[in-house]
Amino acid sequence: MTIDPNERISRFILSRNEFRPSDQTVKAKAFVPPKNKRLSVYRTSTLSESAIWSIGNEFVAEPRGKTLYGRADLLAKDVYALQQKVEPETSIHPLHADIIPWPDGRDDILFLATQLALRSKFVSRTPSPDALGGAEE
Amino acid sequence: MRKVDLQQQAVELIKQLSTEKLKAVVDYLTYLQNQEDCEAAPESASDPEIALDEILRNYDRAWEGLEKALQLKGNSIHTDLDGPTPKDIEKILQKVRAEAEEERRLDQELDAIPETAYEDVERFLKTVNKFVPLPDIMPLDNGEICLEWREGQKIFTLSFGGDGHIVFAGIFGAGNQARGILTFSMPHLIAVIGMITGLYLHYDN
Repeated sequence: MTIDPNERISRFILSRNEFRPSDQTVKAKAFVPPKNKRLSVYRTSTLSESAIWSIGNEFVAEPRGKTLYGRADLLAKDVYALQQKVEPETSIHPLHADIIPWPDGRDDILFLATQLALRSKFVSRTPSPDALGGAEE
Repeated sequence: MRKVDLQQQAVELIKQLSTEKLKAVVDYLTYLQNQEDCEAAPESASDPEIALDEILRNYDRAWEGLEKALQLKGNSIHTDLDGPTPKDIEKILQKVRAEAEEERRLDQELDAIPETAYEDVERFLKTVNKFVPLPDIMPLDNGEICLEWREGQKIFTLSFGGDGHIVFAGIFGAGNQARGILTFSMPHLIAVIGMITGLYLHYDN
């Protein structure tokens, strides 16, 4: 199944040090893949804002015992431009997907994560980042 | 990084300098050129102690030249020449260590950050803190420490895994990117400082 290049995908942000409250930008850390080299994202184009946050809470933050601070939004074509793909992986949720593949080289991984961070747009879960209460790094 | 990329970056950096700073750069480049000429004639340094002494003196001179070239405070380029202090850096790393430990408490599958990674980051920051702004510093899930500088749509990241290497990735504008793995050495630190400084320069390609 191919995901449309203009479809929005979202990476949920579970740590204060994955984004900058000062300018609402996303850091590369948010896109460094885990050991299994499958970077978890959700397809959110068809969802309302409240539905997106519900998924982030129920399927991502709460199972890890973490706080949901926001999300990093990308278009699928931003991923395709880096010679990566967005592969649906629906065992967790019908709209769950993984960004793959990831190279072996540490510099290649950091480069891709940096590119994705630069292309993404941070969406705060709260109206004002100040409301996070000391969210500054 | 390819030689042609370094040459292009050097030219772009030089274009932004005042006449006074340009003189310092020319002095430094002349010195480097002389160095290459000397290295091409190995018989000039036959005694190892004399050769080592010469190398150390050359590093000192290289630093002096770099310091002159990078006296950017007062220009439009933002630098953090007055800080942070070594104690500030130690406090920042203590905070990073606490964050990493908290993240591992919540997810025990995360890799632990080796002590040598903290030591390398501390050594790096204490070396470059006069030349570049303090970056965002954060633990990564793969057991490394990430340093990140961002200026608008330009971004430069480093990661330290404690193995004596510095992993870097930089995006300085459309079609102007760099990545690689460097050993922790003085010439490489100078190259890294140059790339970070490049984030804060505004120029026409």
